[in-house]
Amino acid sequence: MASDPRYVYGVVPAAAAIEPRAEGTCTPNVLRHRGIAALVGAIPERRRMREHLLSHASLLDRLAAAGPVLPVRFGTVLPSSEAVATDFLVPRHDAFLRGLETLADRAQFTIRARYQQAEILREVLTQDPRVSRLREQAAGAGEGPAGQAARLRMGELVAGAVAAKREADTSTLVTAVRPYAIDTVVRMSRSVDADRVADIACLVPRPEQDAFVAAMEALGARWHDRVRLRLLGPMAPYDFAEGLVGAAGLIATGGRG
Amino acid sequence: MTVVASSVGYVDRPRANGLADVVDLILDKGLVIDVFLRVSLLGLELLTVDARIVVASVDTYLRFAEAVDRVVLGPAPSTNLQDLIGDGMKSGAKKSVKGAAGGAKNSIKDKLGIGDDDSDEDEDQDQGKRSRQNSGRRG
Repeated sequence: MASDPRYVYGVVPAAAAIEPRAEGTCTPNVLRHRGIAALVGAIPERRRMREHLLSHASLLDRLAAAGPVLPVRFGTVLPSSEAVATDFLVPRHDAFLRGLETLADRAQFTIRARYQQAEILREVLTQDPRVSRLREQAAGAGEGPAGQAARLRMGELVAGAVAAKREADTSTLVTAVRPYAIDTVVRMSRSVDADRVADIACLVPRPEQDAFVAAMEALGARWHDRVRLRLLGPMAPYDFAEGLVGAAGLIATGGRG
Repeated sequence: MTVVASSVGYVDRPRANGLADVVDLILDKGLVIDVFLRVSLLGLELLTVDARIVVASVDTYLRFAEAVDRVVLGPAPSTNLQDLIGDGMKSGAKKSVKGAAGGAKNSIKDKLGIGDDDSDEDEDQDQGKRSRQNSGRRG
């Protein structure tokens, strides 16, 4: 009856939900309903939000290492334990259960690609003769309008070339992960003048994980001069949770893994 | 935050994710609870980050031109050159991304008092294209 707001971390199978030990600022409790359980806790102190963000992620990642977990969006608070059961677990029980079953033995990895700016510019310069011609032109023409025009045109060509590389390189990355990931979420950078290429979230079955990491290593080695790869994971399926329990149920429940 | 990179190979594999990594990984991700049920999102401005295209501008082109000017063709670049070009592009890029479209994530990062881990901009990106595929066949 009294107000008892509950911070919600995620959903796990009821059978797996033993009281998890605390993680940083998170002290999760288990709230079961039939085949599933919500992990809930006290609202974190506002001044410890930074710690809480790390603890929240650590907790979910630790649980994901031990079994399927559906992460809930960070910062979600429901008005009471009763609301967690009645309004969250009960109406979505079957969808959550199906989602958790789909996650069995699968983990998320996120691969981040960033350009080595100097090398990419060098590629553009050597690959498009117009750019080197304009570079000479600009150097010869000085600061006046002719030089400015040449610089502008050169910059425009380079911007276009880098954008095209970004698309091609994102495609290469997707091709590299495809044999190992049963699902991916691709976020290609749309910004024209930063180093980000793309971030790709991959859902990888356990038997494929070593080979997946090796494939990323191989790509990283091949790309070393021009693209740096950063591999995060295994972690909880942040990018896939909503898709798994949404109406469409995007991932096939059949297949290997 | 300690980032212990893999000492073998070319892929950076931090053993523990830093705050900037975690913000990017978990914010706006995960199960969404209907707004009518939810009490709050802890007062943070967890807005959906709009996919905003950073439109190429004259500034952008001039910065690229400047950076290309400094490119030395020939054998592998020295670290200094890379830093020089990198700094030039970074400072240029930072100027362009100010303003309203900094996005919710930047305001959250400000609230948390963190900068970007690898100093590139938190531009909005294509809202996740999913690609469904069968699990890989191997060997």
